Amino acid sequence: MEKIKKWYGVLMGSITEQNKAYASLFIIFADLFKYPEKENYNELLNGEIDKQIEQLSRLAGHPIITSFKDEIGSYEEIVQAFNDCFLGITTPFAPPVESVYKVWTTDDSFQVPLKNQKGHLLGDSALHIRHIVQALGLEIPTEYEMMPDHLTILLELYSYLNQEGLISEAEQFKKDHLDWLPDFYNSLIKIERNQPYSNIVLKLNEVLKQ
Amino acid sequence: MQKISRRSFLKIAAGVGAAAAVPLTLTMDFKVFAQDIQDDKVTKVPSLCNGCSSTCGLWAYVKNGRLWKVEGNEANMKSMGKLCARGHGVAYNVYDPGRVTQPMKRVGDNKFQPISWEEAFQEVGTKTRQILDEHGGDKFVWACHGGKETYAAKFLDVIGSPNYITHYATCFTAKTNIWDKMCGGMYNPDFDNAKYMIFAGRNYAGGIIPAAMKRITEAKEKGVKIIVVDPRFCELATIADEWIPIRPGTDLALYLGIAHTLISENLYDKSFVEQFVFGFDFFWMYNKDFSAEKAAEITGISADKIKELARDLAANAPHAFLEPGYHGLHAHYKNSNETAMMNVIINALIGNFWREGGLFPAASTTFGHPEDTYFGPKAEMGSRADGAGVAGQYPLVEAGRGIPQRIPDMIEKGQAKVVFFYHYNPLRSAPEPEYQKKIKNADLVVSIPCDWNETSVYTADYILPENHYLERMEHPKVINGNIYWAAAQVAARFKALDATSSSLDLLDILKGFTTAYGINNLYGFTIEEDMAASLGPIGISPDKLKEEGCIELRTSVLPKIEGITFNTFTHKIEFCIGAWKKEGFIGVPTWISPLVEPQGENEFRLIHGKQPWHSHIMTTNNPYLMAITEDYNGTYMWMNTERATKLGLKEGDWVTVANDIATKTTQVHVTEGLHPDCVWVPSTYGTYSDKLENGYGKGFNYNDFIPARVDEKTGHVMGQECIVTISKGGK
Repeated sequence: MEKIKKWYGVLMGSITEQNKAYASLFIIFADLFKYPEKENYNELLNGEIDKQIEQLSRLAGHPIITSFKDEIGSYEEIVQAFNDCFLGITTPFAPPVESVYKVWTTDDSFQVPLKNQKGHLLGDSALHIRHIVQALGLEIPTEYEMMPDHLTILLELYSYLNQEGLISEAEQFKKDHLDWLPDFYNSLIKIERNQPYSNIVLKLNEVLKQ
Repeated sequence: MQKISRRSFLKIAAGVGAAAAVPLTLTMDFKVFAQDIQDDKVTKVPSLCNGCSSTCGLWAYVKNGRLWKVEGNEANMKSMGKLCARGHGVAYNVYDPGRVTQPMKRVGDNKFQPISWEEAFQEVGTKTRQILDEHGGDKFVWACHGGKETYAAKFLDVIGSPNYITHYATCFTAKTNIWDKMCGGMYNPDFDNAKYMIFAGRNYAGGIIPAAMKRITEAKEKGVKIIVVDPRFCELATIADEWIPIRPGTDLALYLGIAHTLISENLYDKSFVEQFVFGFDFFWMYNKDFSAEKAAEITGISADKIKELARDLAANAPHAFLEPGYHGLHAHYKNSNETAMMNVIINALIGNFWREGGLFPAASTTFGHPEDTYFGPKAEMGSRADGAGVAGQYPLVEAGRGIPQRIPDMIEKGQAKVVFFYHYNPLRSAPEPEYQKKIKNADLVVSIPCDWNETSVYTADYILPENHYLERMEHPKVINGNIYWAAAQVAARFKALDATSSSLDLLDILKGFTTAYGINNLYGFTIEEDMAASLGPIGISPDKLKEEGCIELRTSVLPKIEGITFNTFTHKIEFCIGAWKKEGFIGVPTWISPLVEPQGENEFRLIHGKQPWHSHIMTTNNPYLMAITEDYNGTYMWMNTERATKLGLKEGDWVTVANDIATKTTQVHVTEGLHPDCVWVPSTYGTYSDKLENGYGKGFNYNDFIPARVDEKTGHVMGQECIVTISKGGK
């Protein structure tokens, strides 16, 4: 116990069913920004995702209604939309990465032209996420090391903090790292095939603002 | 509540239990964290620029794992403390969200699926194995830029494929081929001690090597006479004493006229020729009638001027040179091979080899190798699919460089089934992109790029992204060539920036691929072990190299009169190439007309060149370099004022450029600084992968207009044997 006291400050808070539902809600949103496997597509298409969001958001005390099932076309179309929006075989594209929408660094000592610019990977926010992930004893996939502030990871992390009852930390996290979604949305709607992703971002922002 | 199926990205780290409390080490407030990391120290790590193939030395300054600054390494003989615009721009690519950030699998036209490295290795390795088991290992092609350790040779050796192909046939293959045959290798100019320099087909201020420009500028300040022969008033011409706007494609005639003057006026170095030249009489027998007057008719340069150039070369010899040239002349004309031969001959006639102010071979050294770790079976080596060095096909082409423009043809004929492209984008940098797109017909195409280049987007079944050069350590390099330097230097890329494994270095990619293919332990060494083994024989430790960034070995190439020998069959400079005679050619250069000539009022030869802030097509998507393009109207096509006036064109007008292969539109720069026979475009533009958003749709590329020809002797593309018609309007 002494050792624990040495390394850890605040003990985790109590976890309520409301916390759990709220945390689970963001896991569902996190999943929507990953490559759409056929199974996930089917869950979107048959309304299972909308149903889960409705139930979880109600349980969490932040009720929202979504109808993503009505906004997606064929599987090929959602794959195309994922490519266009996030990989971008057409331009412009809108990477779901926080650093891209924020000034790269506030450290004015840097002598590279990108220091005061937006639009780059691995900005200050990415370093912070990497720090949080490591401090909490978590890991992200190898393939995402260049973008630890990918929206999926941010939402999973936000969910984790809520799941573990770290409510004040989660609030701080939301304030610091989920405040760029309006800019992300604005980038998405410049892309011709932006559905269902632009609506997902709208709904995500809606529940976060409650 | 039943959980929906999902693929969580976040995992509990191995060996760590789930957190029971908030760690004291956690700084949750972003502003506090961002402030805290400002106190981190700045460190510096040596690397080699990847903005072009010059490998200038640089220091990457790093703070909290990110790039803080780059600057040229003072000790490196290519950079001498300076980096060009490309060097700075390309360094910043590391944070470009347009990088390919993880392995991709094609799932449809212009559709890709991000996959894990493990999946990528398994799928690529298994598919390659299946295809080669059925069709043979020699159906595997490794196509790359060249000039860099690729580790591919080990794999090719095991599967029995000789098909290592580089881009050089689209760049300067005539030069390296000819110089090797005539004098046993390349020679480089001594800028520091020359009194007279002629540059033709080389624009050091466009294709910048910072140290070369520094030394040329210093020479200029000392009063050295600098002549630039170029159809275009290129950047180097701006500091020259004289710009000679030659008719494009006729440098060979100029050189023959200069040689004729040197010989007929007895200005050449007879002693040098007697001692060190083989085939002089044979050369003269074929060319004794090719006078300066005849050259003048062809080149548009007066006979008096041609004679003056010859006399000035002779008067300043051996402290004078005709610079050996680069991309501009050595892959682009039907007479490129003979032009390269005449460059050797003129320098030999003034006896400047191994002489102060003349030409010298590159100082070099030999690296060690990691011990072999694979002792399994090897397939019998097949024959080259491109025909390079093969009797009855292209016997005179260097097999080590190959014929890359033939890859679609090789695929069509079933000679290539699996093609890997490493750091090479032939769909934009090789002739006729629509033809190159047929590469997708191979059974399996794998691209190893950094960005979403055209070859990846249009042809690759899998994209395996290589990391940025500042993110990796590499096999060391000997720094030499292009400029005379008395000692070889050794330098390397060290990993400067935080490790990110979204993309991998090539050695790790090949380890993963070959293991999945079924060859265990082919690369049984780490990059650190490779570097240590490489540097071992020359007594340098990796730590020492990392500390100093660049280490110069002992002086090994100094001016000499005694003991000069050349690495040829006769140990002399061979004016007559024996291998050519064996294949039924004369063996000495004689005048050869360009393949095509502009005829009508609206016909022009389309030529191209480098801009000082771009490196052909590889920098076209860089936002900083493209900003310079915007500032300087960099995509404009140059046209001579008189020709433009006849066509009713003024600065900035839109024109349509057409031939039987392509039709494009662009804006014109109307200038006195271009020969009237041609139009000139930068080699940079015409990006058609719209994933490369900064470069997409800007300007056009000369490759759009040229067919994938193969020169019969050295395999080059004859990239400026291209006539286009130009008409006003068309945007």
